Amino acid sequence: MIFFCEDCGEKNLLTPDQLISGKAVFRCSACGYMNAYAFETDRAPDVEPADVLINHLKSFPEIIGSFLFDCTAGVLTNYMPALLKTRDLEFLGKTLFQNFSIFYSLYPDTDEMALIISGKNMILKMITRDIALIIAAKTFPLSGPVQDQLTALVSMGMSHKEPSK
Amino acid sequence: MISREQAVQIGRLSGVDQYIFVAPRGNIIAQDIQNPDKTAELVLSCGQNSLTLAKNKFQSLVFSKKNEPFFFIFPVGNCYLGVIKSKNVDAATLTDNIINFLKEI
Repeated sequence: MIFFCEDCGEKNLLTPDQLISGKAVFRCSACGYMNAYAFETDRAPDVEPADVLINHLKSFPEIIGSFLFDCTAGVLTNYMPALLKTRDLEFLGKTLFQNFSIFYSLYPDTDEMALIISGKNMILKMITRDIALIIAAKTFPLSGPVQDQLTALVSMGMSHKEPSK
Repeated sequence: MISREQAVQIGRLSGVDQYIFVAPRGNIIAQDIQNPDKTAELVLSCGQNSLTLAKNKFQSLVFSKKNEPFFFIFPVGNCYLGVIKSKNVDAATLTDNIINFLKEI
């Protein structure tokens, strides 16, 4: 999550452990000023740190695109190719999420699902109880560095993964 | 539609630990799997959903735990095949074995 220094205005990328009781606590990377200020919580802590990592996924050549999907709110963050409209992603996310939920009811230790289609793969990775990251990739399984990114994403204090029915 | 005699041969393929063949209306053609009734519902629902998304480009649906694929669903004509992978075989080998078998029948 990006926070601005109160003193010099520099952007600082914070990890979840720097967000303490609704406060962003960090030393500015540019001027060294010690910041400690309150921020809006709402839904942001779940989504915004993830957004940084999801954005980084785009740099891997095997990744075509990705989006975060909430089972009730729909598409949260979209890094898919522009030709896919939001309603296409809503349908894709809803159907993949439904598939995963059906399977999860019998195999609750499952944490990933991949739909293998000619020429591309749609991979669903549960991030929280209600939120999944959906990735369009040229290959499956994903390479080690991409898997590491996903592991980091899931471990961002988002341990409860049971999807809603 | 695949015959029961053809379907049971899946269980003899290298890398197949358990399997189930499900017809379009949900009846089980052949199986050697735990919880066959619930698994048949699951395989049919997931298979039909995947077909809705991928149409005739649907190749397989793979479920993983801890980055290790363990359950596969393949479309076979208008039926669906669910397979649990043996632990000592990698996913690519299993997939190749299944696809080659399905091409021959």
